[in-house]
Amino acid sequence: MISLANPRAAVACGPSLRNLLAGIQPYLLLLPAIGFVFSITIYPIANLFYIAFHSTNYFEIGDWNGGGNFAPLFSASGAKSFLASSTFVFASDVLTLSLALLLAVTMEAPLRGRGLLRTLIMVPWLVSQVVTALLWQALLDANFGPLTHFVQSVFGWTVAPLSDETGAMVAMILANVWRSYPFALVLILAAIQSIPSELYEAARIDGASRWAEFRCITLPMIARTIAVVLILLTFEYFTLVTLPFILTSGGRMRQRMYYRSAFGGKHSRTTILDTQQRRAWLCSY
Amino acid sequence: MFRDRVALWMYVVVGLASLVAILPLAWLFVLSLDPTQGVASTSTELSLRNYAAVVFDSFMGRYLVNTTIVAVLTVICTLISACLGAYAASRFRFPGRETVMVGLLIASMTPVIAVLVPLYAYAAKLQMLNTYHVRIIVFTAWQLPGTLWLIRAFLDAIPIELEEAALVDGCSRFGAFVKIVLPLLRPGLIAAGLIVFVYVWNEFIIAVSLASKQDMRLVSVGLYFYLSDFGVEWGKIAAGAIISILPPAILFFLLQRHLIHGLSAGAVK
Repeated sequence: MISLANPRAAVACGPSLRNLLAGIQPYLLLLPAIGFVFSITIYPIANLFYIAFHSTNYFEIGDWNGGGNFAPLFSASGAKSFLASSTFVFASDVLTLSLALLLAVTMEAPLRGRGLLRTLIMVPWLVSQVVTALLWQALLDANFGPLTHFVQSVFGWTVAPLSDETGAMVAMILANVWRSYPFALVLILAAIQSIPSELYEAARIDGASRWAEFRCITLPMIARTIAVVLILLTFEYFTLVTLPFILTSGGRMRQRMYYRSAFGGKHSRTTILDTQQRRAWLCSY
Repeated sequence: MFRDRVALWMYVVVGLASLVAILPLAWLFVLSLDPTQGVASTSTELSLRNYAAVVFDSFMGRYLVNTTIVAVLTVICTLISACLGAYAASRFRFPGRETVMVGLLIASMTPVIAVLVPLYAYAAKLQMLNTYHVRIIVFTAWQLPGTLWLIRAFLDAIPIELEEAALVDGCSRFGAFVKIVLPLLRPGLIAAGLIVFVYVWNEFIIAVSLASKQDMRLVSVGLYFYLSDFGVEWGKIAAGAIISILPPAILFFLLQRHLIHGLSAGAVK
């Protein structure tokens, strides 16, 4: 167990043909993976840089255009889109993480039927963004949506969440949190379960309260996982297209998400192409 | 007494969470059985008419077949390439190993929409729009880095001594991999395969961009076009949505033990 791969590395050191083959073997094994990823992500991104600084007419790429393609990003509507995206990402992050954390801490205790409940909670992860968007559109429908009915009968508010800007934002955040907290929950739960139980036993002997246990043991031990989950979620939310695209479509209020407007019907096809490229360029970095 | 009350509260929290997860879908199911499109919410008549309309009067069957073909082939391509690469990364020490692995991970964080325009242009140039293989290639590339890291984590947990013993006994390297490592890797492969399958099944942007013909659509795209095909007929849309959830849901319930194990083993490290 001293070293996993050392014996083989030693074999690959000599200059003979056999050793040369052994030396390139790992690269050959990695070749399919590198090939796929290079041709589908790395090369197109390089291409994107090129297109982003040139004028375009459909797929014809014209002259050097400097930063001209980027101008709309710094306009009022660009700023509005960016603000909408940031609100969406921040609110979704906070809600998803706190919900997942609360549930993970609760589910860590050996409850009966925990397996079944965990399975049920995982179900939204299986549901596509398209179905999630359609489902929440129906749930929040002003005429027959049960959630709108519920709010109306309990609080007496008449709401039509998908017909104004704030409502659409709330709807997007709700649907998004519903869709993504199971995944965060599984990762955080796994981290909590890998904490050695001796730590809790020691704390209990010293008379620590449950809150102290959580604050001084659980939280520091899973801080790294939380950071990783937060990064993954933020990446995902910032690049989310399908959910806001469908949830806010269908003749209702068109919420201007960052990408949403790149896809929207207002622009001519040419504009769609290069706005998208510019935006994409900016978003990758 | 104290412990009982805590347990009770825990049940309340977890029970509420599962209700929140399940209730919307349960309501969707009820909506799909309601022939009046849910507008007259007082009606108690239930029928399978929406399902009949979706199955017989639309392309749903075709969409399901398309998606199954693309999803299964993507899973196979991804698992084979990921196994080869993960084996190299886990069992060899060579210059640039971590650079390649981290590079792949960073590449996988590219937003899909960023490369959509160049990809569409290439696919058009190569006459590959509206084909199965272009989507299989793109989906595979998209899922490979994550799968590679996941399988590598599983491989790292399998002691190398097992393979060395097989090599000493005269087994070839490939033989040792197939006979010793693969069986031990099965939970990891199942978890990774399920994640890739669910991803392909639910993907929308790539699927909608690279295929415009109706008979080449994948299920999530087909479902989206129901809005325009049927108008806003919620009963039919709900029925289509329920049908589209079923295949991944069945796989999930069969394989969930492996999935949760796999997610925890791979992603946290």
